[in-house]
Amino acid sequence: MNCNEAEIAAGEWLARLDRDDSSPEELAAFERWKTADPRHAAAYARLAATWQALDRIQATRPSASEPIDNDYLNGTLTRGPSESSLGHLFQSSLDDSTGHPSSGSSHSSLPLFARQSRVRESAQYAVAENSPQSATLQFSNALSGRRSSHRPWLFVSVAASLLVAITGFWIAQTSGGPKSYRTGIGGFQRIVLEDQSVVELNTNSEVRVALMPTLRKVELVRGEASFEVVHDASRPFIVSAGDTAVRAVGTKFDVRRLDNSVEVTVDEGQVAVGAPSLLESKVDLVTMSIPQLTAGQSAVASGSGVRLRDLPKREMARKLAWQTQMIVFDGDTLAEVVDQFNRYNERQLVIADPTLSTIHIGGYFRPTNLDAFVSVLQSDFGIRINPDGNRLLLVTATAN
Amino acid sequence: MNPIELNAWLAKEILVHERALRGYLSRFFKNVADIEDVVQETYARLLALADPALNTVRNWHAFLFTTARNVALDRIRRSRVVSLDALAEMGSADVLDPAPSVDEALNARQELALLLDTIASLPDRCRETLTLRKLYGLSQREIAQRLAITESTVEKHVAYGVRLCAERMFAKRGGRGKPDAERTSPVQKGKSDEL
Repeated sequence: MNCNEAEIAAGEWLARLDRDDSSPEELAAFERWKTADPRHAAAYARLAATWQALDRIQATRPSASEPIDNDYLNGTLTRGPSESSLGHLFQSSLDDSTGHPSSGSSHSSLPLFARQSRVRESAQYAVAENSPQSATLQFSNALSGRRSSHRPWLFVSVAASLLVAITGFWIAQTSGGPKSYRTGIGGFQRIVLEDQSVVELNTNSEVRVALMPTLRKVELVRGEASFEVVHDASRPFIVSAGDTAVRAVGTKFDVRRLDNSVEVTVDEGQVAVGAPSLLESKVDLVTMSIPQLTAGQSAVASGSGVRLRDLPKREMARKLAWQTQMIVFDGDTLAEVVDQFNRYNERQLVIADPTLSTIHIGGYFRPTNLDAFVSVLQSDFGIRINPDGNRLLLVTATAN
Repeated sequence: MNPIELNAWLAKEILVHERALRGYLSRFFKNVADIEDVVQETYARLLALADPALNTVRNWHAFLFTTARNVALDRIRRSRVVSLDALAEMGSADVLDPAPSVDEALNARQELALLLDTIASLPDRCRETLTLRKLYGLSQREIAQRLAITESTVEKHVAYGVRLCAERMFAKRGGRGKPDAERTSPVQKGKSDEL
């Protein structure tokens, strides 16, 4: 880490001023330090910008009814690597108020299974944090070794299994047969299969998994799941969803069952989409003209065939945001937004006033924190909420 | 600009290029401490500009690299042992790394993931402190009570935590910015010809 004096001092000043009891003398001393050398001011500005940027994690705050968890951010919500420089990072830190959850009373009776997989890469980070030297060392080890060992994965898998078993959301059939995994409404589950492939279940979803010597088969019974498939050319990985199947060798993709169709989105690598029976036989995909999707593409398969399209990056990111247990809107209509929230909650939003349907909404939301979203609607969009049993009717605030 | 705006501007227009800037500077300086100094001096010069001057700049990426190059040249000229290689490099090389492409912009998911990843990677107590401070908005005093540690220890965690976050988010090569190959992910990339 950068260890020059100005930076160390800047960190100390930032922490000191972050307390709510800074005295006038301290503030004066800070000003003296800052103006003594332009590099002091520069080092401080850099850390202050970082500190402010961190405020954006408030978007992931759990509902206010959940007790405070000191270690809530221990690796759960984080996703895998993402390349690139940081182009537009933090640009909305000034105006991004819609994404912030309300601090008002929140009430959710829904079980949250979101976080079983937060167990525990933390062993890697166990350091004496008062010793910058050793911490830095550990830090870089942790980074480079983050996925290099299988142990953390095993650990995750074991701990996740325990938790899910306790909460009754996991039905494991006798060993050898297919295994079922389910989430309830608002749930999320990350499953590490025996071959180390990873399945993530979105809200209200179910898969049945059968790993066989020459084939890895997953049936998406309902809902939506993402797959991170460990490469094994001798054992294709086939996900079937009704009349549609997806075949991969090693890649990342998402499959969602809709009412009369199946949507497949490819994040990395390439997959083939076709009828289950066809894909399970080892036919030559090219001669059979079976549609193949590459990274950044999505396909909707229905009775009338398979429709491919290229997804802009932003849309891809939005589609997959659920993997971080967030949903992202970017000028979507209220009607679309309501559909999304209704996937994740027992309490259903209903647009009772059709003129509201075309309101556009942007921001990050935790889909299970319905109360936060509803309070944003009330405070920022002139919408009134009329509770009606398990439904929340949305009407224009001025209407009677 | 008020301090809030200044911070947002710094993060969005300047710090996002720090990693590339350090890479550029590493062509002239072997010593990390030298690079550190040049980066800091560069920021100092930028911050010394008055607001109206800031408003006239259209391409911050170019401006940042040009400023850094001037700082580096000053430093090389001042040093007693001038590296001929460094001077040659300075003279010939195009100062500008290719401008970041639109493709490189982090999308919403990646932005958030980077922040969360950064916090997740902190040492235990440090991570808990930042979680309570930034996610839950507890004061340092409340954090001290909750974690049963002294306020001055909380302060140390904040000081160390913010520096590690800046390092991870803006400075460090590798880590998040690296391609998968070095991470030995259990998931390997599919090869299209094997489908």
